[in-house]
Amino acid sequence: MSYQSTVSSRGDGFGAQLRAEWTKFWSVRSTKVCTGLGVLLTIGLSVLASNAGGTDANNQPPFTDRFSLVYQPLPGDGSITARLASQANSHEWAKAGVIVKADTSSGSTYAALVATPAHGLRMEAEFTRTVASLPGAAPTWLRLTRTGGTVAGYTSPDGTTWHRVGGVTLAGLPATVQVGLMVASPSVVETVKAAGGSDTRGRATIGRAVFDSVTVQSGGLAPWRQVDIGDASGGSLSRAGGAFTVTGSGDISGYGIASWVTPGNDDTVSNSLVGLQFGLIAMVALGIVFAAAEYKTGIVRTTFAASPRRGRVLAAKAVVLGATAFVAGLLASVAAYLAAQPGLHSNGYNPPAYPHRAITEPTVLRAVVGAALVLGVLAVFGLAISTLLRRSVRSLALVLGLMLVPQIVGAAVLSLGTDLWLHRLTPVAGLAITQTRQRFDTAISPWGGFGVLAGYAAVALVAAILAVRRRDA
Amino acid sequence: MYALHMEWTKLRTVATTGWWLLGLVACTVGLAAFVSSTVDAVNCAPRCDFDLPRLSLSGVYIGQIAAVALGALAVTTEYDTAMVRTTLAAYPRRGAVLAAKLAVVTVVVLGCAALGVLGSLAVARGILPGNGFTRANGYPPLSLGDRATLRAYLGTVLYLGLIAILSAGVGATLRNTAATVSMVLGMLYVLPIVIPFLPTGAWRDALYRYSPMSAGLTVQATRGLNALPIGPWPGLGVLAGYAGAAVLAGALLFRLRDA
Repeated sequence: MSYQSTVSSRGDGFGAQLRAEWTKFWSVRSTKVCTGLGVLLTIGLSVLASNAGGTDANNQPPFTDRFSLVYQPLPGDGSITARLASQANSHEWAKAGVIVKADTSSGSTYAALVATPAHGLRMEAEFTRTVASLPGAAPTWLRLTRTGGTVAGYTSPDGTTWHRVGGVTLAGLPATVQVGLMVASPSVVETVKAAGGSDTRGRATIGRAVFDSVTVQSGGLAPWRQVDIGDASGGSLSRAGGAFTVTGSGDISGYGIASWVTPGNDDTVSNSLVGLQFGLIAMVALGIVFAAAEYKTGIVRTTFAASPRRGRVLAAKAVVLGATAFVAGLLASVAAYLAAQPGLHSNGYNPPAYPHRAITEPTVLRAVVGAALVLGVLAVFGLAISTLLRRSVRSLALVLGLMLVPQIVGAAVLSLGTDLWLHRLTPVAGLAITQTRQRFDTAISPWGGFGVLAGYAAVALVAAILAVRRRDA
Repeated sequence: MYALHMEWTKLRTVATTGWWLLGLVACTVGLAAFVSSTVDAVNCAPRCDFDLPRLSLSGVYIGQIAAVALGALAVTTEYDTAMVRTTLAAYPRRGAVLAAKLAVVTVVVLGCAALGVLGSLAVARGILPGNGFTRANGYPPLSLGDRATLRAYLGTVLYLGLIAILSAGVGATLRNTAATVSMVLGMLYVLPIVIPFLPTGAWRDALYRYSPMSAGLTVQATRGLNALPIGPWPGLGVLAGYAGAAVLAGALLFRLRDA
């Protein structure tokens, strides 16, 4: 005869376990206070930071017009044709091609058809318009035709069959324009960071291109001349037979053109979510208190007596805690993001340098939801460490130390290289999910960073589950 | 005197106290060694004006966590175990009890802070010359004979003592270890993390001046003092103000509330 318990096993299901943990979570004052404070402080700090200073990016010139031009006048209608034989890869956005420009002063209107080493062929005009972009690179034939106020671009693989790339009407084009060849190569922006500060500076690169078969129709009588437009440097022209070797630096671009580097590189999205720094302390504390409270009060023995499958108890705890922290975190991050925008706008974070970014934009959504995910995972990380160490102070010192110290030390005293590794290897990496802009201090991709944090939490949780199964409570 | 003896016995006989003190010294020296080994006097362009005393004292960024824990535990452990009722039954003068607690934990933290700071000096002197910080490159060896260096080192010891006092004051107010440690760490770390992301300007300077850690650690600065939003000693004074306010609030509540 075997003994069969008459007690229904229904109460031991995972659903019931979740409900038990939720009841414990929500009936304790400290967990509620912790969650509420975390949400409020997150929003508060984001609002404070959004009001803490402005940007002058929109007071900077909205375009750059500095490059090496080889030109001659074109009276009335006509065209410039050239074969771009080769282009040096001095910069991914180096430009070499043909151009129609109102005059040789910096800032005068233009249309250009250029090749780039890494971004294909592009027809651009007026510092604001990308007329066309298509695959291709040197060697290629390029042609611009001017008809009244309109400039049309053509390419050809062989100089006989031509393909129209696009056309653009330029406002205020004079009767006689300058046509010719252009070469540009932007500066490489380097940020050097040493203990206590960072400096950003541009290092000029010199582009080099070889053209041949250069013809100007209904013109072509004047000699070719080379000039550095704007404050560009390093421009030169040397001719051998029919070949034109042109060098030059700089760029011709502005808002609306892909090679444009906007002045100011603040990440307004991650700055709006800076309140997360308070939120993370609250959520780590929440996870730690939630676990440590059971050990402190001895209720953990009751819990384990009621449901002896300890691993499952901890799993249920983690699910309840993670979900609650995520929901609270989402509330906090959405509110923080929305509440920070007015402050940023009134401090000069406006288009064109800083387009206003709606919360529904995919990368913004990733940052905002990601911030909540980080908070959920951190709460579980805290729970796991707290279960392992069974004392709240040690756990707080360890987890908060891991989350806070690298951020301080990295910024304050370390070189950029060491700082970046610290942001890849410690749980701090998780905060990368709020970044929406590639910057010199970008250490890791958004999801990659989140993965690092999630990895820490997962390892800690597995270790904690193994520990509670082996240890006396 | 009796209260002091009582508190000293309590602090001394708790097993974790020793570990936290060891942690304070070890973490301070350890991080100082790490930071010292990563800086380089040669490949440092464009900014090579290293504030070496301050660099050698960066271990305090970790070490202060132990000071926070010690300060909090000195007060809150008694509430966790309800020991505080026994204490007050044996010695009802509450002001004296709290003062004795503060005195004991502060002296112990100051002592260990001095050890950690001297250890940092030793490792920095050992490591830095190997990274090109030699007299020939314009970096005389770190020495407490230099007034500014002495201020940085002495100030850091005082800083850690004040952190323990601040934490104990908050502990007497909140009467919960986890809440105290979270709150003090939040007070200390969040603003210094956020400040570098803010645009330079009046707001940023004001936040620096009111942040207990940023202002307090200004005492470590030995170079470029004019560029800092607050001076070394006034900066430490800001932290002392926070610590004083926390102790005042804690003492008031300790007298008024039931234990």
